[in-house]
Amino acid sequence: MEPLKHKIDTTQWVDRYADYLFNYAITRVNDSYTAEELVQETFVSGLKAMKNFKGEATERTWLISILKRKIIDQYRKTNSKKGQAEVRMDFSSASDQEGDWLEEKIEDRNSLNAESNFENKELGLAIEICLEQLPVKQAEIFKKKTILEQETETICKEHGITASNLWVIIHRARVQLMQCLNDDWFKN
Amino acid sequence: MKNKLFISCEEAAHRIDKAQYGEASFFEKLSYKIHNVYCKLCHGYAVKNKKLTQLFKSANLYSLTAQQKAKMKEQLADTASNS
Repeated sequence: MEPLKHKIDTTQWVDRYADYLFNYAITRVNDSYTAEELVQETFVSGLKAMKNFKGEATERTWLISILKRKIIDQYRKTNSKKGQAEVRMDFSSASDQEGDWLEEKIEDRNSLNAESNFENKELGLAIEICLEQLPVKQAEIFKKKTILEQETETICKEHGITASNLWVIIHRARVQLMQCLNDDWFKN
Repeated sequence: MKNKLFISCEEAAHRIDKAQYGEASFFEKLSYKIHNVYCKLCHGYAVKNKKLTQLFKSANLYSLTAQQKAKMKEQLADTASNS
């Protein structure tokens, strides 16, 4: 039998792709617990289907395609529980709807933000791709400090480094991210 | 040493980074701002750095905690050894 051309190191999966997949999932299912479960299931499915990975796409793209399936399945599952595809919540009673209400005439703020939400989603994924290019330990420390907003002291203790070490790591990460992120993002 | 008003670019960059996390003291902020008046490079870095922080905020990113990742790794290792 021909040996596998594309060697996949599954032990690196969680460190490299978990946050990217998690961000992808959470913007679509809006629930962190479900998103975490979906990412976990994606890794397990990926592991089982590893033989089918031809190496035509990057590992990340391949994992995302699995995650997409999982998200669709998740929607199907929740909708079948409800017994219908769409549920409209109506908190106001019929008597509230009588007459002319000023509130109905103003623009919906959420729909105004639809475009910027979409932009933020794209930005989030662009940042995640750049974070992936950082050395694993550097990315881990940077995420802890910037995204999880942990205290300098806590991170230093956890990793056994000094505060000045930490700031050097943060500085390097920030410089690399600035170079990686497209200039378009830095325009106002 | 710490209370020098004129600082090197390296020190300025360090203080600019700290300021992004709200960890720079008043004097540290003052000293890098003075530095930026005559150093265009560091001024550029400060502007870009601030924008990077804004980008991170508007991207609303999430990150899994170390415990969550450890749990995932464990389960992945279990699956790998069973298959």
